[in-house]
Amino acid sequence: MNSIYLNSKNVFIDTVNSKDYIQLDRVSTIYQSLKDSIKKPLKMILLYGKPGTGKSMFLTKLYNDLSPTQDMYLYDTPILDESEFYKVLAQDIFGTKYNGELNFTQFMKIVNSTELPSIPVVLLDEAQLYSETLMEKIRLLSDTRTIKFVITLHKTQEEDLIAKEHFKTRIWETIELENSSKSELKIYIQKKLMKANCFDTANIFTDKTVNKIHKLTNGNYRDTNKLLFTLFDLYLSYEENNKLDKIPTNKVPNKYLEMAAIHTGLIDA
Amino acid sequence: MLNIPDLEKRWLRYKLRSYLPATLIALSLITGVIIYTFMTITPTKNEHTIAHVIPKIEKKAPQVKAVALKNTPPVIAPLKKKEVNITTLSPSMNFMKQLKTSSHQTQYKPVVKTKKVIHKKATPKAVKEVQTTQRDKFPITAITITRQDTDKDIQNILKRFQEDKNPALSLFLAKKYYELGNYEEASKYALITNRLNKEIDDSWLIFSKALVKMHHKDKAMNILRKYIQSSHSTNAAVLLHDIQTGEFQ
Repeated sequence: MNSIYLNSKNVFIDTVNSKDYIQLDRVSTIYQSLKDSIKKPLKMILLYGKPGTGKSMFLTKLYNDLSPTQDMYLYDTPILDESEFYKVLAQDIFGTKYNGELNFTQFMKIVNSTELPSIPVVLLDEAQLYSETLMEKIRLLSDTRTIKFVITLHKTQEEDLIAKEHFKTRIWETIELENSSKSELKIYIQKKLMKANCFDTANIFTDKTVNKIHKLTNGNYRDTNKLLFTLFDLYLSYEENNKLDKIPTNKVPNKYLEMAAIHTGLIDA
Repeated sequence: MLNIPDLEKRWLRYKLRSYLPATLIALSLITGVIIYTFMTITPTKNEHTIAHVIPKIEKKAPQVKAVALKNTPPVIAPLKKKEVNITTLSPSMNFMKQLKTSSHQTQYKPVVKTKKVIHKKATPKAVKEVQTTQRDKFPITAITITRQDTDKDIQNILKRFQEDKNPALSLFLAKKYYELGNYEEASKYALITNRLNKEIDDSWLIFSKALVKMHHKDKAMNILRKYIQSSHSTNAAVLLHDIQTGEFQ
């Protein structure tokens, strides 16, 4: 079966893939400023925002775009053990494989003994999961200007982190990512669908429908993806039960959006 | 695969729940409107009952006037044409009821009113003022109208007295109330006059007379005695004598 709803459903699978990155005006501006910040002699760049605002997507895209020309390393899963963290960095950046425990002093020796053609950029996703001690070490590392860090973290954690005086002086650039506006959400949904050649389903997202989606998801990209994935799953189920004729083809009735929201937990019913 | 029937059920429950607050608000509004309507309708019913009562009172009024007019033969002939007007200008009992909010009227004799008003020759300055305003309206039937507009007079004088604490006005009110048989109000305004000006003979006399009417004969006599001592008023002495002998009751 090759239903249009199946294709549309697959468009909204919640994965971090730079190919799925949707170019929106505001997002593009932010992305450009992030790219510019990488070029600046900054010690640390902080990318923060609520969950589902596209931080991971930004980092992935940044990595995919710049890694061919720049010494860049992406760690999308936090390495929580301190020794393991140093060992991974020593191996990836400086090509030094270390057996046994590696502490900060030993790692700094490796850093100082190795000369690199350019300053490596380390992208750390979900930095709120790192311990305070490790974050302090990361700060010290960035102070040496031997490694540049781009870290992402949730807004609540950022507030705590920024509040600390030592980080205030060291983070030189902060970029905030926000939820989409209604118009941005419409472009996001339609572009995403059209990118996958789902033109018919892209047209059913009228302003009214998008407003309803925005109301349910608050413009959050992750929640929108989940909701629309479930919506098309719902359409598929109706299709399989030969009940699709009940659903209009030119718009998405609120009933089905609400049903999808109930299933995804956006509506508590 | 999604469980569509279950999802539809959950959606229906959610929908019903989401409509609940709006339904409750609507219901409470409707209830509110019904209660408000009921509350507003109920007093109007009372008004109707009062309206039914009023004509009954008014019907009695012409009888009283007929007596008064018989006593004044020269006025009867020209008044025949204006009989309708006379009926409508009869004293309103409602107004008197309103005046009794702070005190209970001990005696009320409407017949006395007609008699007293006819003796208008001895009324003070304030009375004259009111009469002149009425004469402007009805120059020919001045006497009759004065009698019938007592309520209006009182209202008017009350208003003026509130604005200008003139003892002449309060004395007028005291006398008017005394004439109407409202002795409590009469004594009250006599006292007010007395407070404003202690040298007005009439205020003492009205006050004492009102006390007698309210069965406080001893009190009235004491007051008169004290007043006579300080003022040597012959009117007060005459009244004291009348009260003592029982000529004034």
